[in-house]
Amino acid sequence: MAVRFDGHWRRRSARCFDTMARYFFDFQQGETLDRDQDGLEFDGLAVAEREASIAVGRMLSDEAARSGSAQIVVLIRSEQGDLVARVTALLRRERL
Amino acid sequence: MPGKPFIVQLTRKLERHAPLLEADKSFLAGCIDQVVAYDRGETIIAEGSSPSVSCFVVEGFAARTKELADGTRQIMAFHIPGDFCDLHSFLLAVMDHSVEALSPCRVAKVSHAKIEEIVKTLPNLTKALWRDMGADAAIHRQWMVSMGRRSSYEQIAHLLCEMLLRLRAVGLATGNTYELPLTQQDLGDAFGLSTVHVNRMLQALRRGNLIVTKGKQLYIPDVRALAEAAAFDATYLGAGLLPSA
Repeated sequence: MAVRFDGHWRRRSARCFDTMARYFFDFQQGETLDRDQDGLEFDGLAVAEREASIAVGRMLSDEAARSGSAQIVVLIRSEQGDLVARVTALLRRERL
Repeated sequence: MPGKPFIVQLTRKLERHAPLLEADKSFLAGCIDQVVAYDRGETIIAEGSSPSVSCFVVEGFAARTKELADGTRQIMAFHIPGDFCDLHSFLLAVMDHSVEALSPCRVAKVSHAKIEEIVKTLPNLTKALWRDMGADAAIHRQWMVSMGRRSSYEQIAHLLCEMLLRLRAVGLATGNTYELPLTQQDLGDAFGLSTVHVNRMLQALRRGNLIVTKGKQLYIPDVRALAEAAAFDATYLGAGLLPSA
């Protein structure tokens, strides 16, 4: 059976499941912080960071259609509750 | 196989496209060569193959997929019970995409020889199948609009409205509740979104009380509100206006 692994479809292997870890993605936009209650499993922090980067990039693109500026911060927490990474995307328009 | 529930389901669906005669229904009842079970992730029809049968979903969810050179996957359509997932393989020399099970699935197979017979002898059934392919194409067009122009929030809300109507049409939704055995990865692969983003959008829909999820079960408390959030117009499904919640 094929399973998703590091962003790719790969044959199921024991290793694939051994390295999976759950991460929580809290989104901060302006004063609002949305805490992730569910979390998602990824094959390591690097993959979680990449997925968060893709997500904020797209969110910023959605935001660009609505407003001229936005800052979206994703705080990544480990299963133990430790803050392990932060991804920030900033959209700013300036007239010169 | 007269009276099989999935034949009833298929007949009911095709009758929405064109009136069927007794001869059509009787042919449909006997056209299944075999029913095969698949696990989630298994390939039902492989890209590059030249199938001699077409498949329709009896149970579970399947998808038309394309695997890219870098190993990523694009989902181009979700197929639910009662859907032919590769009727066009009757016309294609070689499959240009795969069909994959997204949940444990049972799939009925109809030989292309039998479809040839339908085309030659049963014009009403032919028209119904043709319109069924047209309905698939209409869904594709909506997905293109979603991919190109809708926000990710609208994309997901739109899909959830669409699935409600499609599942309702084959009797698999109870009121505004249905089972959606898709993972966040599946949704992401359908709309080119990361799982983190899908997760965030689902949480936003839940927070807005537009959806309530419990395991794989999804309840839409106010269909009109979700349809409004998605700018959803059911015309492409031939379903007319949504009933009130």
